[in-house]
Amino acid sequence: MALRYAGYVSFAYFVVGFPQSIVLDRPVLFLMTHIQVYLPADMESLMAWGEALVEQTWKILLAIPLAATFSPSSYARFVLLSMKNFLQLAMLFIFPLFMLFCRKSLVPSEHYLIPFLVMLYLWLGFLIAKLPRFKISDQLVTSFLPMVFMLMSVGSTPKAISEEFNQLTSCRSEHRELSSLISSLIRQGEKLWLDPYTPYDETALGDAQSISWTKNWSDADKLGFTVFVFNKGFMNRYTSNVSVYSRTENPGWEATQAFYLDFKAGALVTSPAGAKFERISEEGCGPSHEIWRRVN
Amino acid sequence: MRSLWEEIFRYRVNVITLVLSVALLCQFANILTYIAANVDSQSIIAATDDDASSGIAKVVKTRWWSDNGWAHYGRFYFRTAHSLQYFWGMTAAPSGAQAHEVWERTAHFSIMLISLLSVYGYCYLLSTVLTSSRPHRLASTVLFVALGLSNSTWIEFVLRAHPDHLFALVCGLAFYVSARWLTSINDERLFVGSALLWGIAAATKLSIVLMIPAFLLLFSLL
Repeated sequence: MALRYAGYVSFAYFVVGFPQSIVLDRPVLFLMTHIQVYLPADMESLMAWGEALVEQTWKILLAIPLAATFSPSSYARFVLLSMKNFLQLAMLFIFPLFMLFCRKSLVPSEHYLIPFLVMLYLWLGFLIAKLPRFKISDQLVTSFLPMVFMLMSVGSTPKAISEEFNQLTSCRSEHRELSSLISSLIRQGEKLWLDPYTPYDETALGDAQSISWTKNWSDADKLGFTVFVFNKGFMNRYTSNVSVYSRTENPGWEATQAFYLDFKAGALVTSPAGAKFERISEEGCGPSHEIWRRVN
Repeated sequence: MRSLWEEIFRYRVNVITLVLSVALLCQFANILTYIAANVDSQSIIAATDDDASSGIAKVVKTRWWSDNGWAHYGRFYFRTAHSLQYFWGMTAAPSGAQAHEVWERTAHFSIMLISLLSVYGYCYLLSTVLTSSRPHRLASTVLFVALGLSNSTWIEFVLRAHPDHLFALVCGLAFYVSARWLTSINDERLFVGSALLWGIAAATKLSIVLMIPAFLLLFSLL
């Protein structure tokens, strides 16, 4: 039965992803690389994990029994689930949560919890379906309590949405200006080396621009870049307050740090090969960006 | 007047269902305005979110019959987003934008909308588990969406282009059907349905590998 089940799972996986899904080595290699990104858990990551779990669950965990209490029960057949079934189902979210718990993965990846929490909520719903409900008059249940639930939702659109929206969009106009400047530099024939988290010109052809996560003077001189576009938030990962989540043992980390440190002061920078760069633009919104152009 | 109230009282369930449906639509429309206002081209999104920018690039490149070059994960996600975008065409068109920007904006809108619809999907699923009453399901859905999206991480991943909410919906559906299957273990349709849904979940995000030990245990306990 398990093999037949696995067969259907694989069938759906391959059909939905065909023809990409026939290449199995790429996802496997991706997973193996991804696992290497995360370190074993430490006390800080455990605390972060616990905080994220509580933060993401407490409101809905309170709301589910409350909503169930004041609702007529479900037609569903979940009352037939045995305790063994509950254990089997619980494993489907407990194992992944435990595996996340064992890795230092949560600080940038709190969203990994979402699917497993949705399963936890459904599981709780199945459990509640087995419990007896209060007898409330039909009239009250059908006409009044849904409205109470609505009011309990403290406004149907939480404030977090506008806060998150403002955070995501607060620097858009500055980024559009920066994007125009980048396009204009490319049109002038400059060769750009960009940080991640910077706007870029999707229409630029050939090697007019390159985005990379690591940088060093040797490649900069060899490849002949004439403009650097830095995201200062990204630079700071190397130049100040190096986080415990930074993988400083990665090859290229020290060279990248040395490269960025040269630009930190903001003064004229000279490469080992003698190329001189000066800062021609700096926008100060959010993590902010700066552009350095070769002057000789 | 009295007879009007009597009529309303007689159809109170329908009236309340209508009122709650409007409330749900208003909530959806309100959140949708944030999504629409957040839409931008791939280049601008890249300034703050590298993953989302590459997500837009992949949707633009995705077709149902070909390889979008990203075999790692998210085929169902990118292909669903591509389908939505295909039906909309180049509709996210502020004046002055170039054609490729308009196409990227529509892609961006489609992926955020998929996340929002997924949130509604799994909140409604949870409501159906809790109650059979339609007004209560609608009210609970509004409540769960409001509470879920009051968490900054949950709303962040509606406004950022990521497959996690769609993955949560597919996992939720698969989990639901698996539970139904466990209550009637000989039902072939539920057996096949739950397996197919887990397969689609695997095609949405590879986090499903974290559940492999749980599946082994599930079958060993059957």
